[in-house]
Order: sequence, then structure tokens, then C-alpha cells
Amino acid sequence: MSSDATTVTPTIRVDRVSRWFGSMVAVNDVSFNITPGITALLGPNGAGKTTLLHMIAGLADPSDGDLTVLGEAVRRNPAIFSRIGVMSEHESVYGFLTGREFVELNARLHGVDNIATAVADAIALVDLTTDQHRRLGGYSRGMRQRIRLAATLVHSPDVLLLDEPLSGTDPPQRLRFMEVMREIAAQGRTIVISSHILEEVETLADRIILLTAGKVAATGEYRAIRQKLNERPYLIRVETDEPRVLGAGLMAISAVASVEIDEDGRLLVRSREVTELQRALPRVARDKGVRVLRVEPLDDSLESVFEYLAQQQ
Amino acid sequence: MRTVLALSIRQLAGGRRIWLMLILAAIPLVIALIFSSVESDATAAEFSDGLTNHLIASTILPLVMLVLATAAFGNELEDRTLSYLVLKPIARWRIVVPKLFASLFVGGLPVILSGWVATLIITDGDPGHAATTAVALLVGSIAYAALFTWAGLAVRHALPFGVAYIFVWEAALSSFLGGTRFLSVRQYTLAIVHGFDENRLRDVSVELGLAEGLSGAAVVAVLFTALATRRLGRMDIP
Repeated sequence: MSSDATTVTPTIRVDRVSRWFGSMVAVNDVSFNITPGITALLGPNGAGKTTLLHMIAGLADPSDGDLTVLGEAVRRNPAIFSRIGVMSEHESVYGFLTGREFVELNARLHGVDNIATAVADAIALVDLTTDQHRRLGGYSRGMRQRIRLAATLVHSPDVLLLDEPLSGTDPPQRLRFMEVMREIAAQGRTIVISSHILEEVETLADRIILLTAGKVAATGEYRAIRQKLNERPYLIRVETDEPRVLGAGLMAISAVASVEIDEDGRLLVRSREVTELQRALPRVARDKGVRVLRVEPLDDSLESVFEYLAQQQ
Repeated sequence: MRTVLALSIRQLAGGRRIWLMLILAAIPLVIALIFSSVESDATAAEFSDGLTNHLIASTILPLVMLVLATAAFGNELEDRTLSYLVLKPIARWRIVVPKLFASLFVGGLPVILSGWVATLIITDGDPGHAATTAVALLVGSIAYAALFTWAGLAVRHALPFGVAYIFVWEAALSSFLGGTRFLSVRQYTLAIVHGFDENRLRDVSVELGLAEGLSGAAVVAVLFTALATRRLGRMDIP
């Protein structure tokens, strides 16, 4: 982020922002700048992504700190919304409107000049032209997401804030969404996409801001984040009839970082080179004459990945 | 503002709630038709005043306005669609005022029409009598619309709040504590009826004059519209 910030004027500035609800801190002293292109706000559920996006979009006040979008405060500044498009995480829509009426409503409220063309273009962009006259109440979840995206894009905003935009969409729709986002980003506009799925944004985002427990755990290009993830030691549980003997044998292997025995007498093995460990484990067991009963990975969940990165930070 | 108004009217006019409100609004008409078809000890003027005071101004108008005006924002807060309106480059009052007019159109108008026609039926077509009732109900419904639209945004349990206002503050306390009548939309409505026609509501204790009734309703309408606008600009939008 910082390297971009020195060469390109940031579109979004988040400066020491915190937000708390009673005694719960949802966002804790977060600072970053976002420049044109696609930035992913990544983190597990409850990391503070939505709260942060809400504050950037002007839907909530920060308890502390400052936020600006396009050089202006967003809160209590409705005029700025002519340059911002926001798609919230909530999938609710006006069920009594047709898809076209819904996009038209947004265009009118944004004061779009050529409404008919803008609406038709936005609907075509999300491939809903044939379904545009159906009521939103009858749309599938994926269709609702797409029509909401059309409504968000109808006034051609300079800044797009999209909260979990891919939820409910199928793989072809995701590919189409990614195409559209790349086209928009190529026009020099700023797109912020929040997600809790790393793979979802890996091919899309130029930069990633990783949030855990309301704090920024890591920022940077996707490759740098991925590299950090690859350096993470994996935790594997091994059930054997001779845990001490097998543990001593494994400790002699360079691929193993540490070995513990848990209260049930099972081995907890940490390794940064899982492939090497997979090869070595049967060999060591055979050489030591012990039986391996069960092998299972323990911390492949996304939360553990985020936790690891947060600890590294 | 037309876009928000049209959207809000469609929101409020949809669903089963509107039928319940229309049935409620039609009750004065039904009562008037019954009065016109049977013998009664009461004169037409007495019956008309009783209907206005005891039913329309005290119960039907405030209840209909409560349900619809609190729903104007309450529904959008509940189903989380309010962000579609507030994330637009329009001043907050341009959202609040159409919401207020939508509840007026969907809820107030049927009650006013019902009250007007019912009075015409009871008084054998006395236009002055009916017009006085209609004007008073219109002013009252504007004040209620502003008050309850604000409540829908600012009060967590807007419906119980409104019911308490109507049946505790306006109905009970106003009967015993004269001072509270200055803060009662129902009293403003009755004051306007009595103020336009001194022969109306003679048996009712109306302590406010026409000017006080009109200015009281205007203050409530402007004050609560301003408060709702302020609230919309400062609250967290879900």
C-alpha cells in the first residue's frame, strides 16, 4: 500500500480509525490508503470488514480517527454519493419492484442524465436483460446480487465499495463479475471488495488488506500475502502405539519444526514442509518399528490462517 | 422527491396492512350509513360531533397514522433497504418529507375522505360542517405523520411508544391535566373544528383556540420533520 501511496494519490484514506459498540471493539486503530485499482478487504467473519466498509461508505461514524474518500469526508456529505457506489452485504431488495424498476430507481436518485441508456447498459453488463421485467421477489439469490451490482454501477461511480459481492453467485457468474471489475478498474477507478475467502479474491485483487479481530494483520500484493501463508507451519496430529519413539524419530528430520504429545498420547507435529513430512513419516515409522494409526491436519481452517498472519504482524 | 414519494407509497400500500387500515378508515362511513337509516335521539350535529370527537380524532386517525408513518422508515430499517436511499446524493430532508407525505396519502387521505363523507351523510349534505371536519382531520394527520415518522426512525419500539402517546397521553392525561392539552395533536384537531364553527363540539372541553390549534399542529409538523431529518443524517444505517 505504502509504495502506491507515494506515487498515486489515494482515493480512500483511513487514518487511525476505531469503532466500538459498548465494550466490544469492532475496528481497532486501523490506518491504510487505497489507490485506484482493485483492493480486497480480506478477513474471517467478525474481523471488522463490514464495519470498516460501513464507515468508509458514510453509513456509520467512527468512534475515533478520520476517513476521507476522494479527499472529502463522507459522513453528512450526501453530494459525494454521486461519485461513490456501494453494494452492502445485505441481499434485501424491494421485492415489489422489477429488476429494471430497481436499477431505474437508483439511476433517478443519483440524478443520472440519460436514464434509459444507463439502465439498459447496467442491466446488460450483469446479463439480466431477459429477466429485467420480473419482480425482484422472484429473483434467485445470484440474480439479486447481479441486479444490485447493476444498480450500484448505473451512475458510473469513481469509487466502488462492494461487501461480499460474490456470495450466492455461481462459478460462471463469478467469472463474469471478475471481468466486469477488471474492466472498471482498467478505467482508473477504485474498487474495494470485502471477502472472507482468499481464493475468491486471489485472481482479482491487485492489493489485499488483511483484517483480523479489528486490526490490520497484513497489507500488500496478493503474492506477498500468499508467500507469508506458505511460510506458515502446518499442524498435524498423528495417532500411534509408540508416540515417544515416533516423536523422537520425527525430530531428527529437518522438515519437522516441533513435536508435542497431547494429553491423549497423540503426537502434534508442526512442519513447514508438509510434502517432505508426508514422505518421511512412513519411513520413520517403519525404521522405528511403530504403527501409525491415524494422521490428520488440524489447522487448515481459514481462521487459523488469519490468526497466523496476525501473530506474524 | 417524486421518486422517493412513489417508492414509499408503493411500500406502504402493499401487503395486508393497508386493507386493515382501509377497514379502520371506513368505520365512520358505516356508522354514518347506520345513523341515516335508523331513528336516533341525537340530532345530526350532536351525532356528527360525537363521531368526530370520540372515534375519528381520538382513535381512527391517530391509529392509522401511527401504523403507516412508523412503517415509512421502520420497514426499511427492519429489512435493511434504507441504505438504497441514504447512499444517494440527495439531502436528507428530501427523503424524510416524501416519506411523511406517503403516509399522509396512504393513511390520512382515506380517513379524511371517510370523515368528510360520513359528516355529509349525517348532516344531510351540510358542506360547511363536512369541510370543517375534513380540514381539521387534514391538519391533524399532518402533525401525526411528522410525529410518528420521527418515532419510526428514532424510537426502538415505535408502535408501543405511539400507542402510549395516543391512549395514555392524549386520551387519559389530557382529560385530567389541562396543561398537557397544549401538547396533544388530538386537541389541535378538535380546536380547529371548534374554531371554524363555534356551534361544533359545544359539549367537549376544547380549551385551545383556532390559532393555537393551527400553530400547535404546525410546530409539531415542522419540529418532528426537522428532528427526523437530523436523526437520519446522524444515525448508523444498518
